[in-house]
Amino acid sequence: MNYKPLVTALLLVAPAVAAPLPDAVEVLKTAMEPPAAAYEGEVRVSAVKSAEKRLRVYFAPPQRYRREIVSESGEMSQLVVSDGQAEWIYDKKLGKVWAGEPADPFYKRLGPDEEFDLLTANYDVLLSTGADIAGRASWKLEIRSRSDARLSRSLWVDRRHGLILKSESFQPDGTSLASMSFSRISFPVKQDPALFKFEAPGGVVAVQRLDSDYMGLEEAKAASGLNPKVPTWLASGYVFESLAIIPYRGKSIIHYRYSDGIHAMSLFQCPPRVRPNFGGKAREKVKLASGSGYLSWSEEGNVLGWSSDRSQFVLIAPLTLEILKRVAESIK
Amino acid sequence: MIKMILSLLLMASPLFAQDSRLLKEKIKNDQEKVALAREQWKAAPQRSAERQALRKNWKAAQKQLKEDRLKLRQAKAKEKPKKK
Repeated sequence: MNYKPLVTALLLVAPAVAAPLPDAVEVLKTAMEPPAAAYEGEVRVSAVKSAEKRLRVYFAPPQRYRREIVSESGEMSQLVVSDGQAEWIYDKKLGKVWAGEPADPFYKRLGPDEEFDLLTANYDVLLSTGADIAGRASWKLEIRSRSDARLSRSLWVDRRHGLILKSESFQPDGTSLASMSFSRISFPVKQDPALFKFEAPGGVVAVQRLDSDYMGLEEAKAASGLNPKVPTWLASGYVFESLAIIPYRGKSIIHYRYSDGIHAMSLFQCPPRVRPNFGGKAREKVKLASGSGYLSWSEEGNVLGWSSDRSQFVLIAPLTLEILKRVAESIK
Repeated sequence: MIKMILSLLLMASPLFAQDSRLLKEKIKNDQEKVALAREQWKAAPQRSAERQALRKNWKAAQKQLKEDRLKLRQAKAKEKPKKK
C-alpha cells in the first residue's frame, strides 16, 4: 500500500487542528505573579461613578515599578516609584512625599498561595481565546462564583508574558464595578534605572510611612486601645485575612481585612467623633437595625457607614447593600 | 532498572508530602514569631538603639516567613504529578 497520499493528507489537515488551550488555573497563577519581562505602557482605569484615570506604567523585574497618574494634558499629578527596596508616593498637588517599604504579599497572614487556594475554592476559572489588547494576543479568563456561577471578574492575559492586559470586575447585579486596560504596551529589553529612583523636588519633605502590620484578631485590643467589634456573619467564601492599626489624629482606627481570594472586604472601626474620609462618593441614607447609616461608592465597591456602641464603622466591599447590611448587623 | 526508578519515584512522593506538612507547621510558627517580634519592637522606647535592633529582628522574622512560604511552594510543585 502506498502511504504517501495518506501522510500528505494528514500533514495538510494538521495545521487546521487547533492547538490545545492552556490550563486556566495555571494561566491565572502566572498572571498573579510579577512578570519576568520588563514592560512600559499606558493604562486607563475606571470605576463606577468615578472619573477615568490615565496612568503611565514602567516595570522591571523582579520588583521595580513606576506609576504616574497623568491628566488628559499628559501632566503627572501623582507618582508611585519603587526600586525594590523602598517605595515613594508623591502627590504633586499636596506637595507631599510618603516613603516606606513596598508591600510584600509574602508577609501577610494569608500568603499569596493560601489566597490563591481560597480563590480556587470559591471560584471557577474558565479560559477562552481573548481579543487583542493594545496589539497583544491574549487569553480571556472568566472568574465565576462556584456558588451561583455569577461572573465576578474577566481578565485578558498576555499570551507570551502572562501580564494582565485588561481587567473588568462586576457588581453582584452584573453591572461593571471597575476596569483597567492597557491602551499601549511594549516590552523593552532594558529599562532606564533612573525611572525607578526618586528624589523629592526642592522644598518637599518625605514623610516616613508606617509599614503594614498584618496583625491577628487577638492583637487588636492591645494595639489599638479599642474594644474590637467583628462581624459574626460573613458573605459566602470570605475569611479574615489580617488587621492593621491606623494612627489618626492621636487616636487609632482598626482596619480589618477579609478576602474571598479575589475580592477584599474592609471594615474600619473608629473611635467616637472620628470620621475619616474613605473616598466614597455621593451619599444616600439607609436604614439599619441599629439606626441609620449612609451608603456611598468607591473604586473598591459599596461603602456603608454607621455608628454603634460609641464607635464609627465603615464597611467597603464589592457586595450588595443587603449583604453589607447583614454583615454590619452581625457585628458584636 | 525501570522498576527501580519507578519505586524510587513512588517512595519520593510521600517524602515531599511530608516536607509540605512540616513546612506548613513551620510557617505557622514563623507567623507567631513575626507577631511577637513586631510587638517587642513597638513596645521599645522611641528612637532607642534597642528599638532599632528589634525592628531588624522583626524584619528578619518576616524574611524567614517569606523563605518558608517559597520553600512550601517548591515542595508543592514537586508533589504535583507532571502533566504529559
